[in-house]
Amino acid sequence: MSLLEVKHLETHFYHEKSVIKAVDGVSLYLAKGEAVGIVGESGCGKSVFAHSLLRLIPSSHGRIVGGAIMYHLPHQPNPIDLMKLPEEKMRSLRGKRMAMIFQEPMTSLNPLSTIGDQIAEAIALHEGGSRAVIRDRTLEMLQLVGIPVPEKRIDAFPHELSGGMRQRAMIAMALSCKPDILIADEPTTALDVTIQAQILELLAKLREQLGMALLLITHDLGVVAEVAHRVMVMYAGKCVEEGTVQEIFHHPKHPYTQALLRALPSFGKRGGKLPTIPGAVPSLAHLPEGCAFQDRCPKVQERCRKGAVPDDPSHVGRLVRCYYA
Amino acid sequence: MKVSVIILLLMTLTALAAPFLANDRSFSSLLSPPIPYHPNSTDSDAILTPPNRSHLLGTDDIGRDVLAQLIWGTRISLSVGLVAMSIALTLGIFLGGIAGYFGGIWDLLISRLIEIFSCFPTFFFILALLSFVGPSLLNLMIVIGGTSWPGIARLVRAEFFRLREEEFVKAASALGAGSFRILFRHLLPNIVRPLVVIASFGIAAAILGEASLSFLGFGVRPEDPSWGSLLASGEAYWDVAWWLTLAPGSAIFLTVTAFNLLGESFRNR
Repeated sequence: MSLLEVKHLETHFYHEKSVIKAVDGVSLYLAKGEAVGIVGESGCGKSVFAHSLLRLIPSSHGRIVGGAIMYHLPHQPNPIDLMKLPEEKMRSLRGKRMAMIFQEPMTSLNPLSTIGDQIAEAIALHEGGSRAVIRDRTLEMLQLVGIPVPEKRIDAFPHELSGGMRQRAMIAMALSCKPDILIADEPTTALDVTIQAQILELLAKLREQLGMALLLITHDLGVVAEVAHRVMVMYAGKCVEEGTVQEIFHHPKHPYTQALLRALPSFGKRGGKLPTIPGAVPSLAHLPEGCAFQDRCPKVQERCRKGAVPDDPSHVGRLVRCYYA
Repeated sequence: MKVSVIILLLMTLTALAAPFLANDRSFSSLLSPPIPYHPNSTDSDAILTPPNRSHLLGTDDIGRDVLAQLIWGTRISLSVGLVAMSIALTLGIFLGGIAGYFGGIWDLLISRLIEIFSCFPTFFFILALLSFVGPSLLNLMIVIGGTSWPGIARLVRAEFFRLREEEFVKAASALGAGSFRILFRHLLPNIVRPLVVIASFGIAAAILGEASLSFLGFGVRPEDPSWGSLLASGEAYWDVAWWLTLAPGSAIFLTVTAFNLLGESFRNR
């Protein structure tokens, strides 16, 4: 049963007179306990998509203009549309049912409060309880994310911890109310490779242990292959291909996905230059008509330059937004 | 830094202990006040006496002890400074915070209000207001506080503008924290340092403002001896009784300088 079903989500930003379609009709479903990865280059709209799910788009810059975010509350027959929820109800959902961890563990922690206080804040906001109870829960969370000597670290300030420890504290904050859905927005980008592996392993372990769904946003294909069950590939605000990890990595259909995978270094092919994708991502404010990948695509035809490309025009049996897949 | 803290601590202690320091009756037989005069008790045998052993800073034109008046005046001057600044801080943080955090129409309205208030020559604005509401200690505090918030609001607005884009603000709202919680629990602690600086300069300005207003006769009532009103009453006798102007003048100078030095040292930290 799907826990979260996003239908044709559109988030636009407004800059001077131009409209930037950062997320342009993206649909996605997430089942209970499932791990889904969203991959794409910088600026393809994957972070905006993730933030839109929690309705965290700053109203001064942009707006979610269309679509629906259907969320199945446990023990309730009908899903609710998060888009239609009043802000107050939405706030009680954030952190409690859906939590998020961010890219930069340094800037996403308040430099002036201890990590214990910040984790406790989430618990106090949603569950309450006496100070002693909350402190015990906080210690328990720190233990859960593998922070050694939690009794000591609970009163540490963010700058006193290493990057990996800070990200663990962030994860403890997000998990403190046992959410159904954890959205991880490039959780390992700011970390060393060895720490990266530890954090990913931790996320995978916790997902299984707590039975929550994980939405992992990254530009690292290796990370996705390791953690996710299903993958969505985004390009210029649109989903270009979606499938299981096997489908995407072994039988990529969209020319963009194929090019991305070709550009990965591997042990098999030593020496020689890595293939790159020619050209650059088009500006989201001036997207061409038709397929956004047209100017970089080896298979481009006249048809690609006219009108929006439907979900599965070449009948692959899953979402591949290309006529020549 | 050290000197100014010591001066201000002594001033505060003096203000708090004024009834025990200078009074014509003692509260217990053990503790007789070192200066045995009440600021409002007159002595027709000692009019305009220069500083001497029994009146350390002399007496004024109706025979009141200047030192006693100065000690009691500390209460008024310091409380005007502190209360006026608290009013200004409350208004400034509230309005500046709303403008900086919510932006949009709030920012537009509050920014225009700040600009309008900054356009008035503050001192004359205060004079005009006081002539409507009438001089009293409370009115003085409200009017000084109510006109010195724009600088604070501007600072808070600018800082919140910067801070609200920080990731940890988004992280807090992703955890379900509401706007006011973010404003006061997450943003405000991050700007305490500039606020302390602006507050200590502001207290100095408020004390000076009170002294100027009292000097002009718009300040506290005559029976409350503020430094400014002491200065005003001494002004008529400056050529025959120099101690009447020197004493309150030095007190004002010392306190204002101490607060300014304090602000300066906070700023340079």
